[in-house]
Amino acid sequence: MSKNLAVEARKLTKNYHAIQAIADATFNIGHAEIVGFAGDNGAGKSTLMKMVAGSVQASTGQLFIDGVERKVWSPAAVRDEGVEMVYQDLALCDNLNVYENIFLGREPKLRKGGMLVLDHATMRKRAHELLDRLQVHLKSLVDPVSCLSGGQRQIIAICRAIAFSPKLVIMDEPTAALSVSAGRPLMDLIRRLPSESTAVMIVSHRLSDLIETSNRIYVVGRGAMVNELKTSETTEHALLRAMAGLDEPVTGELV
Amino acid sequence: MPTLHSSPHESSGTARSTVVALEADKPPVSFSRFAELQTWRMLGLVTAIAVMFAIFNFLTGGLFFTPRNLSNLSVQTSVTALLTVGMTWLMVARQIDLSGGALIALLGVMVAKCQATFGWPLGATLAAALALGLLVGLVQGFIITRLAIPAFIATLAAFSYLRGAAFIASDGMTIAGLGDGFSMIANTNVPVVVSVVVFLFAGAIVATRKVMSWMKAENKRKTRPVDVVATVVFVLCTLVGAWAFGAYRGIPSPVVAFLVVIGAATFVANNTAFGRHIYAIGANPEAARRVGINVKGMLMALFVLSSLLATLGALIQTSRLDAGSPGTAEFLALDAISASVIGGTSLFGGRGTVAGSALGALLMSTIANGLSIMGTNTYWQLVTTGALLVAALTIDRVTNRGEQA
Repeated sequence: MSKNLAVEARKLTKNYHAIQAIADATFNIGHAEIVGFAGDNGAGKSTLMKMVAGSVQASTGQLFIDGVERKVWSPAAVRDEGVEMVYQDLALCDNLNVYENIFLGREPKLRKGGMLVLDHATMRKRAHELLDRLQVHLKSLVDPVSCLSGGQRQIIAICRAIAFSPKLVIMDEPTAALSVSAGRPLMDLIRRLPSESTAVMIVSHRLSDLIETSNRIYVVGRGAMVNELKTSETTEHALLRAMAGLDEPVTGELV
Repeated sequence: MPTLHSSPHESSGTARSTVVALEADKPPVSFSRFAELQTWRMLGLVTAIAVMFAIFNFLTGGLFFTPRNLSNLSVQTSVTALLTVGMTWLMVARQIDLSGGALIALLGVMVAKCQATFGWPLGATLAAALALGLLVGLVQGFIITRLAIPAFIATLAAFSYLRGAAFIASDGMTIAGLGDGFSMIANTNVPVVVSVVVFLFAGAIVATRKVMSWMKAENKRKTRPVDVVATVVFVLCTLVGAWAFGAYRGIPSPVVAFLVVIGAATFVANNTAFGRHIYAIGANPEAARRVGINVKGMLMALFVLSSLLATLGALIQTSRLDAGSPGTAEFLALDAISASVIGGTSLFGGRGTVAGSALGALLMSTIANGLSIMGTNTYWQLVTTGALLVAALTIDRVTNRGEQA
């Protein structure tokens, strides 16, 4: 276990009855580092991310966040550890408005007459600031998010993840609902996060996104880590070959 | 509406220009069109109630719109309205409780036995009723959240065993004569002068605050028509309330209970994390869990709350009748569901307000009361409630195209 690592996973496994979804996954993510995870559909990337996010509990193995081993596997405890996740399904509540979704579960409150009430003004102001950071303008922060486009909804999920300066942001297909040009400010933001002491774990089917943003890329196949590539020394073509299992592992200890 | 997707004309622009639409420099609007639509719907319900008032007043030769009948109507609405508050929150959170009427019957029999048969002091009877209500809520919550039995089945079972327990406890007999102390619970009125002042004060406060807000320089052009209409309607309602309760005995205690509960529930729903989390669970329980909301704990709390509100309803009903009957409140849970749906609560969760549901309860009571004064066969009340439900859902479908009812 190292204090220099935002995340360190040792031999994580996840079994669903007789099926092993994740097998002995060992990986690490440094502070101020962006690490991509690539792999085919069903390779186990999403399960791996959900384990780090605490919504799926590992069957065996150890997970250290900021050098401290995780004992309690629950989304609430994990958020308190400074780990946030942008889920592929976005995990938004369609009936709540923009700022209620961003601060859901962590609403700023005021004490009024001995009672804790929601601080709507602060939520609205901070939501505005977060959207400004992403260079996005929405016509209304008080309409339910069901009124928004797919891309706008994605941005709301990302605002929720970065709202409290997390140690680690996990992003599952963050640009899936965005056009290439609309995804550009998001890519810029992801690249900026390490300078704000936030590490990033990113899964994307757009290999160009991984190459553009990450420092290293782990290749996941059939629930196991099959390769690790330095982004500066790889290409989309090489990454595709690694995903297809056509290359020897770069780091022998991974398999 | 700004879009995150670039238009063909923007494809060669900078990142900012591709993301920000033409309205980028305008501040976000401060009103919600969705919330406005909800308010218009609620005003539609108030209009429907007003139309019913006018029709029944005409058909009964002026007997309906009298202070005495309006006071009776408000008391008749109170028990259903109390049950409707718990039902609305449960339905918003994708749950349901079919056992409210049966719980009222069991509690009615129990308090009647405690008072009339065992001669318990009033305080002990109230404590026992609260304890039983709490226990039933905890058991329901446990079965639904820990044993993962669907709420429909778990509360259908309770609908049966609670009603059965009421019949067993009373040998199928009505137990009457609970004593003066107990009968004061639902048969006391706020003094007339205080009642008038309360209604006029409420209307004046809301009107003054709204007018001052509209007069502010920065809001002068932002006043929304729906806000003006809603304020006028609210003030008119307070004037009717002041007239009715001023001319006939003051506000009855059951009405005080349901007004306080509805006011508190509306405040909690809009201004506390607990309230907003109910709506979050209703829209997307998995998302609520992922952000750290204790979904099971919340549902447990809602079932306990629903049972406690039924307990309050039982005390009012038993006190009004001065008797506990095992066959009472047979359709009350279904009435509460109907009132919630008529008031705009979605059967699929995530949408609904306690104020809307209370208006739904008032509309149903209005029809029952009007038909009763006309001397119509009471079975017609069931027919009209059914027709009202179909009408409410049809209107909901038309105004909510694309959403589930």
